[in-house]
Order: sequence, then structure tokens, then C-alpha cells
Amino acid sequence: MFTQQLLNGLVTGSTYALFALGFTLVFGVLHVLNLAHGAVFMVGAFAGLYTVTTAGLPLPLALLVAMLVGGLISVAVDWLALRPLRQRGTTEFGAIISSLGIAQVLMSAGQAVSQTQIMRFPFGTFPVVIYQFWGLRISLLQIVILLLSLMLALALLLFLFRSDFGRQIRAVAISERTSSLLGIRPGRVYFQTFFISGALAGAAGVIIGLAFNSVHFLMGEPYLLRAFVVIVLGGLGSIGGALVGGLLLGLVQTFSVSYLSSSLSDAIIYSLLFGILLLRPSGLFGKLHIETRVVRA
Amino acid sequence: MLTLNKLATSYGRIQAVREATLHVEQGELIALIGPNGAGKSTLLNTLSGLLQPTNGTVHFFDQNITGWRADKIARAGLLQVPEGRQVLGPLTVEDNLLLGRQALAGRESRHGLEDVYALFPILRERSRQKAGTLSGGQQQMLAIGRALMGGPRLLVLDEPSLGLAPIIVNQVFAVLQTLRQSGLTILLVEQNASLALAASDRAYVMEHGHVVLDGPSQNLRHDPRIIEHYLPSAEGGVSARAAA
Repeated sequence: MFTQQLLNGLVTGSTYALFALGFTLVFGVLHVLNLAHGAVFMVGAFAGLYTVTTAGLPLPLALLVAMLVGGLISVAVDWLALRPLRQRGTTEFGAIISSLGIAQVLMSAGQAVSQTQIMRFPFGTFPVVIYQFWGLRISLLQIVILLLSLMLALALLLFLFRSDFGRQIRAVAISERTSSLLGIRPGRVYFQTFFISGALAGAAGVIIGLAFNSVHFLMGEPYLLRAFVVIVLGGLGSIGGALVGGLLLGLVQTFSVSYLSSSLSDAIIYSLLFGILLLRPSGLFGKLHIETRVVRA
Repeated sequence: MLTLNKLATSYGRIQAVREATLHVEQGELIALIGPNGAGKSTLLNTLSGLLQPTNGTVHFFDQNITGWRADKIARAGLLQVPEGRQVLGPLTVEDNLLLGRQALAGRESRHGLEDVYALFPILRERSRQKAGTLSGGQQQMLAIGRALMGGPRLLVLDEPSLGLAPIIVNQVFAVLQTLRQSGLTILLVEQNASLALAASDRAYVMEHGHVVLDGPSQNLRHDPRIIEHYLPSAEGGVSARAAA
């Protein structure tokens, strides 16, 4: 029972982590809470779903389409809502309002397109295979979710800390002014950052849509709220922190539902958040507040 | 190679640079001196594209670069070592240096990582350390090394002696002389006039946003107007200012 819950918690947590990765990336680079991240996630899920249902293409292709669409929408969000603020140097507060506005527009569009229906991936989109061993049950889908989340997090870490592009992103996160004196094109860096963030959201949309077999225009909102908890737990702007924070949140949620009461789970999660803010204001992996601007490992 | 023609720059209604005309030729080491607030840094920031001029033009080689964005100017080979070094503190020394290559944009640099380490051996020892943990002098070396990685056609330095101990200032200036002898063109902005005049071929003097005087540095060193205002007492007084 305990190990089974542990496993379930890790799978749930990895979906939180996947969602939070893109969210924390933008925060780490721009010091901006992109409240449209949940809507981009929803659009990605829609794109993936329609690729399977309307276009009749296989799931791996749908995942790629969702990542591409999510990435492009995210770049568009930046261009429309955040870039104008950046040019006036009023990003940090204004971005919350303008990204929230874009999120509303995207959700209204999603509502219109889906006619307020909850949509599902057709039966058999992902083969239903259940493994049983040592008294544990795990589905192939759960294994794929867990592995894919870990792989994407690892790929993001390698990209940021082992590549020239990643080094440029980290430089702009520290100082756009100094970076531009070095010949780095800040506009290109923002484009990449938002594309990656959106692509991760799109992938998360398809995976979570599959896992709960439910795709609808409001699906991003609860995840956005969870993502706040995840990145505060893990330390704002920290990639590794988002991963660990996501897994931890999944575990806490699963255990509190199974051992205490499902109605208490939110109370427990937010008490945990409160406790951590009290004891470690910069999160489990955070150092100094000033460093939240930096994308950390 | 670099020509500023009647350049003017304002912050809102305050005109920091009123009219600056100067030129730099290939292989020269040019000093721009003047008191605090004369507009020297504003002039450099206009040159490197961080500020937009309100009037006048900047030509670099055969291109009119007036109004270009900072990153484009850097990629054209006009590289600035900003005042206060501005190293990227949370990144390692080596990351800082490698980022310097972004300015290359297809050009070749005479200085790769190994050449910069040869020029500043301390940076090799500290290569894995975060740049923010370096001393002021080491950060200045890092900032210069980072600019060299970008293959500068013109290297612009803003107050490289500021806040450094005299012994470090001497090291930095020795490297500048080495670079100049290798044929690099350098524009040096300095408050420390005696140091700048000793190091340079020609110099411009700026006051209240105007270039008020220029000529070979050798002559300016003996110009009574310069001696009175910019070369107070003997060498000792100047070193003390550099150390302050």
C-alpha cells in the first residue's frame, strides 16, 4: 500500500514538475510570473487532441505538434503582452496583469472552439497496459509520464548549463544590458526562452490530458496554482528545484489523500507552503533572494 | 576607423554630451580625459549603443552606426569594457569568457581562451570560480579578457583604473600596452589623467559635455591648462587617487 502510493505520488508529482519547469524558466530569466502559462498548456493539449482526433495522426506526432504550437503561442504571448512592457522597463508588476489578460483571451478562444465540452482522447490512443509486480500496479502510461518528465527536465538542464544557447539565456537572466554589450541578441534569447517554456507546457498538456483523459478549456488553472506551490517549494527560478518540488508536492498530495482525507489535501499542501516560506523563505533550494533572478541548476 | 561628428546625448532635458567630435585611427591608443560629470561615460554609452544620440553621427570603418542597437555594434567589433567591470557574477569565469565569443559573429578573434589565460594567468586558476567572487582587479582583467574573446576591432575601456590598487592598475595598463603593440586600436576613458596621458598617443579633454582640447598626449602633458587642472601635485597624488 505504501509503495503503491509512493509510486502514484511520483507520477502525479512528475506532471506537476513538467508543468512547473516552463513556468520557472520564464521566472528565472525575466523575473516575471507568466500567468498565461496555464492557458498555453491548455492550447497545447487542444492541439495534441485535434491532431489525434481530427487529423487522425499517431500520438508521438501529436506530442510534437503540441510542443510546437505551445512554443509558438508562448512566443506570441511574450510579443503581445510582455515585450512592450520590457521596452518601457515596467515588466515585473505589469506582466502579471497583461499575461493574465492574454490567458483570459486564450481560454475564451478555447471555450469557443470546444463549445465548453470536456473532450477526451479516443480509446486506444495510448495502449492500456498494466504491469503488476511485488503487489504493485503501474500502467505503461504512468511509466511513460514519469520517464518523459524526467527526460525533459534533464534535457532542459543540459541545454541551460552545457550549451552556448543556455549560457546566453543565463547571461540575459543576470543582465540584459551587459549581455548586449557582449553582442548577445536579447530578443533572440527571449524568443528561445518562451519557445522552450511553451513547448514544455504543450507536452505537459498532452501528457496530463492523457493521464486524466480529460481536455477542457479550464484545465490549466489548477495546474497554474500548483505551479506556484512547486516553484516556491523548490526555489524560484531553479530548474532542479521545480523537479524536486513537483515530485514532493505529488507525494504530499497522494499521501494526504490516502492516509488522511481528500478534503484536507489542499489544506495540507498550503500549510506546507506556509511552513516552508516561514522557515526557508527562498525555498528548499533557494539561496539568497537576490539570486532568484538567475536560472539555477 | 571611428569618427564622431558633433555627437550629442541627453537624459531627458539634461544634455550630458553637447557636442563631441573626435576620431580614432587604426592602431592608435586614444585617451579621453576630463573631470567627473564631464560626459565621458555618456559619450561611451552612446558609442556602444546603450544610449541613443539626440544629434550627430558615429561612423565605424565604412559604416554609419548611429542609432544601432548595442548588440549589433558589439558584433561589428566595437567592444566596450564597461565602467565597474560588469562581469556576470553568478556565472563562472570561463562562462564569462566564452560568452565574449558572441560578438564574433563570423569574425576571427586573435584571442581564444588560451590566449586570454596567457595574458591573465590568474583567470586560469580561477576559471571554475564564480566571477562575482573575484577581486576588483581580477574582475577588470576578466572584463578585458571577455572583450578580447569577441575579436575587437576597437576596444573601448571605461575607467579601467577605478577602484583598483596602484599595483593592479599598473598590471592592467601593462597589458593594454602589450595589446596596443600587437596592433589593437584602443579608446581609453580615464579620470586619472596622468596615467592616461602617459599611456596614450593622442588625447581628448572633455568638460561640461564638450571636447575642449585635443592633441598628442606628449604635448598635453606639458600644457599649462592640463597641468593646472588635471595633473595636481606630483605622481604620488595621482596614485593616491587611483587607489581611492
